[in-house]
Amino acid sequence: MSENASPTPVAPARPPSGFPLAHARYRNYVLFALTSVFMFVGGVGLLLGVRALGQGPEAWAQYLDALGHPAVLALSLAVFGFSVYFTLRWMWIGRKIMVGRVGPVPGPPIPMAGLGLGGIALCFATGIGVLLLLGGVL
Amino acid sequence: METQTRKFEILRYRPEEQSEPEFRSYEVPCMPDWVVLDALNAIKDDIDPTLSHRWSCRMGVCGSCGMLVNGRPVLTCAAFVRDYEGTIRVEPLSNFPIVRDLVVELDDFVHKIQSVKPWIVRKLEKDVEQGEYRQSPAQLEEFKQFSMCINCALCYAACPVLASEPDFVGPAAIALGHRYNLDSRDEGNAERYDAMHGHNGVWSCSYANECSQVCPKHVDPAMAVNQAKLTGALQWTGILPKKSMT
Ligand code: SF4
Ligand code: FES
Repeated sequence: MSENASPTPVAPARPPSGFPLAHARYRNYVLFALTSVFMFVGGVGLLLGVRALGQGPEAWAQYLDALGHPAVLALSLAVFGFSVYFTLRWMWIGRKIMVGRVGPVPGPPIPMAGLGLGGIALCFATGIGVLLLLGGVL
Repeated sequence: METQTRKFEILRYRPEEQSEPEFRSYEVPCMPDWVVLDALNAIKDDIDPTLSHRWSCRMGVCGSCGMLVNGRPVLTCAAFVRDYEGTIRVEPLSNFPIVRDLVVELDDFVHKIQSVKPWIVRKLEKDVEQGEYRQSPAQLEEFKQFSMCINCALCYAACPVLASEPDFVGPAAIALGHRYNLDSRDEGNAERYDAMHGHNGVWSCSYANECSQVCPKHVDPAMAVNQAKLTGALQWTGILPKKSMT
């Protein structure tokens, strides 16, 4: 807990028992947090690809060659696996968000599916736009 | 009824004698229908009167007897001894400073609950003669589960985010703030916005969902947190209005 100081002498707070690796429930959570590292690595890989694309056919061919290296293949597989795990776990919690609500029960609820799909489409479009910009295509 | 002797390991901390908490063992003759709280009371009454722990209602209502039993946050008045095998380990709630033995410091928890203004906020109060505020069963259903919270703080003890970000306002406070935001009689959404959506608000949550797993009243704080994220995002973009009493 934060330092909302109390004059009472106290022993420091202890972390949840078995955190972070002793219980499956916390291991799952740590794994979920770890997905960010692999998604970052995947993102960097994509940016390198876009840079190679901007540098011409030779650099692009080298990039494709590098993608075929067994270590890079294994890493790509890990990135894919972690991305799928992130998506599944996020959807497991995300299903709890049925509608956006404020105060007195509103008019028509905002359908989560439409909002979610709209958001994902917007992210994709923005991502592709940024990649094209970085790659010097735009 | 015959008693069965069970071994308990209890985390003890007496600041005048110990620099840090340590486990002490007790052999306790338990009746078959005892809950862990009965065993703690038996230790205090018959074996070691220096043991300190909190409790009141003994029926899962007051929320004061929360502790870790074998690592899991539970209400000890609702945790039957017979459901545990072998040694039973009892510790104070995690993520809270320890005042003494099994008693934790709750000031910060109370401040966090207060920060979301868990009461009905209105621009203008009606006169009594104007009658009550009417609410349909459907409107009540919108928030009913979130009003079942008994402030036992088990969700705070289970939350891995609070372990690393102690200033996170936390699951119960957000569930309560969300409960009032959903209440058809309330107009205080804007007043709760900073506490719920500011730096230590809903966005600190990273979907561990442990709060909802341990809640003894079947509140789903993770649902409240994530619904509040969506609502807050829509308010931030201006798609949904913030309701204000000012
Ligand atoms: S939400 Fe549940 S676990 Fe958290 S304080 Fe309220 S009753 Fe306890
Ligand atoms: S003693 Fe009241 S909830 Fe356990």
